[in-house]
Amino acid sequence: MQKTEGEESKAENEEVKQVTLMTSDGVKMKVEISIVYEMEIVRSFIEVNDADHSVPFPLPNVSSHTLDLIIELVKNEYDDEFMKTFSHDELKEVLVAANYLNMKTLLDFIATAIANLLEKKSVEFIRNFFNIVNDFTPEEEAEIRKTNEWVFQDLDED
Amino acid sequence: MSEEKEADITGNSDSDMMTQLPDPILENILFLLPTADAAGMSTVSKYWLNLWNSFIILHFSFHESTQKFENFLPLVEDSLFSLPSPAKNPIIHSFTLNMHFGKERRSPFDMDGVRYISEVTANVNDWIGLVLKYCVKHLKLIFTNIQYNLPSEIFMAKSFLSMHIQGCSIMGYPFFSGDNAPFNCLRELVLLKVETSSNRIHKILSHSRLLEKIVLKDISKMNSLIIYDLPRLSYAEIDVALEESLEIEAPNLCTLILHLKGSVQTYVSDHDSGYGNYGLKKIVFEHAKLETVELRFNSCARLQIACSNLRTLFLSNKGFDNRLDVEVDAPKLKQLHYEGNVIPSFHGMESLVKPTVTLKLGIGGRPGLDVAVRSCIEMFNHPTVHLSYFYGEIFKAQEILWPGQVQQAEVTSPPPKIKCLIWSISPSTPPLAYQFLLDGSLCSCHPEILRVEAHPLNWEFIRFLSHELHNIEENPSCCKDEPKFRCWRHYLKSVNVEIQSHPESEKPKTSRGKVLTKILKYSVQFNMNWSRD
Repeated sequence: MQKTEGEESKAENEEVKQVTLMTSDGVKMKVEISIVYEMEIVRSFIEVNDADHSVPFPLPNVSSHTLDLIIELVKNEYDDEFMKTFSHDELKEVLVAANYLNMKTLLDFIATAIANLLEKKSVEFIRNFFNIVNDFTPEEEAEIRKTNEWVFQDLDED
Repeated sequence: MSEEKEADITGNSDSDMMTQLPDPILENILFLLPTADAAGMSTVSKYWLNLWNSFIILHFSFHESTQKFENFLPLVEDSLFSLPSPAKNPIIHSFTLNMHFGKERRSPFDMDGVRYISEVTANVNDWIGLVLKYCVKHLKLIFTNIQYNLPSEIFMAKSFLSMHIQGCSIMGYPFFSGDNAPFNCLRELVLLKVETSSNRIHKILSHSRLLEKIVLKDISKMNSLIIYDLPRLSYAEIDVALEESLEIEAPNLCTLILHLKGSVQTYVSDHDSGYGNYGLKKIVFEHAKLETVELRFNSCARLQIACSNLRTLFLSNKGFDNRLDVEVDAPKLKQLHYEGNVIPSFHGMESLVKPTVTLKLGIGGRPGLDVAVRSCIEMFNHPTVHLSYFYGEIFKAQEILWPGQVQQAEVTSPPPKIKCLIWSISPSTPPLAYQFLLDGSLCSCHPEILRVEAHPLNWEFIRFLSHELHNIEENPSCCKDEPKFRCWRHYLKSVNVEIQSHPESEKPKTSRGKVLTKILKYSVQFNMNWSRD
């Protein structure tokens, strides 16, 4: 993997400021401050309380796996190719976490990725993706499908 | 029965996850989908049906090369005429019209073309007239290769949150619904390739006091730009050839991207009391909340930046040889990028806590340059220096970075360390200049990394570098006559070579709906280990 400039300077024993985050599964992770700054929720806190960064900042809604993915995404400057390796569950988890952490760039990026994924997909695929239970009666659904008939031409195979 | 129950449970827990998301996030996903797909989402469940029904998206794209206007017309009209009546107050979330015409439409001499375009324009006028009867939140009009004359009534609509106008002209005087009731919802205004005048822009701005984001690019027929009384403005991107004056007073400005073309005379920032004329050659920034400044300019000799929250500063006066003084009072500065042909004198940088500095210097060579580079480097902490060398354009190879000048300046301590030195040399550089370049640059600084792009034009240079760097005697016999000076060969301990790949663009930007893919570039990298006793 390519060395980032941050890693080079770390090797030099120059201190890269880090903030410790504690995930929902109790894992403490040291994260570079430049990445933490993208998380509005944490940033606003540490900026107001110029606190000791070694005290872990709790993130009760984010798992360590999701946080790992987010950090990698930010480090790779939102790399499309890297994102393509995500499972559907991971995409959703990152979306929920990005919303919770209030990361604007990541939200835009992930929303775009999900929109691209959903493009030209069947209703069943979309229900599956969001785990949505179909709460229409068969008659209602037939009715709506009829009004939206033009939509259901030209769909991709799931 | 039990199976059904299970399904219910999983359904609940999953919908729990999704209910953590506020509607705007899901709306945004709908918004990013093409209209057909977004409509399809309404068949998924009642929740999505409600979401879909709560707003209407109208996105139309016309490409002259692939479709005929006669076929496009009914498509738009069917959608517009099937909208619920305006009396019911439906909200149109966004209306986007992207009209892409062939290049030949630019020619004004084709009578058939003129008739065709006026027919198209008349239809577009009708559509816009119809849409304006509704409450529209986001408006996007893009015209390519024809210039659409925006109807003045468009500014009567009070509901816009964002307006993106591209390839249009605003020639009529913008009407507003009474001067006391401006269309004060507008948060985002983007004007690209728009033909209009300063007066019209000023009128629009003065009626949009809630603006948070302004992008003005390639606006023709503008002399001056005055932005004031916009208390919420946090993002401004201005790329306009202004001949007279530019003035920005915005107390909450966070990001400013400014490409100054033309001969702007005045720049007055937020902080000044009264109106100061700084004459031709000076730019002052004092916006207290500015975090990011990107500035490209030509006719400027002094730059004064006093922003207590500034984190990123990007300066470029590429292509111009004017001397440049930069005075910085920005205690929080983290990143400084400079790109240009002259090395600016930075003042006030000593107090900064180790910002990351990138200097991208395109140099034709000039006497004493090495000393300037050196003092510039010494001021910063391990900067990354990109040196582009253009041979023979202005000066000769011998004049740049000549070790002799280091001696004259009586520099006895080892030269400063820098993180990375990146060479790009113009193809016309003759091999005999390589030695000067190498000696000169390594006598002025000790880079941890020396990088050259792996491009066929550079093979010769790379071969030369590996030969020179790998064949150093343990106790070099050079520099015997100079008691005070030892060249780089005396400091270099070891070198190893590797091939690196890195993305072409340094910061790939993701824009709505479109993600730029990275292109990999390869370079040869010499990792250098210096002994500096």
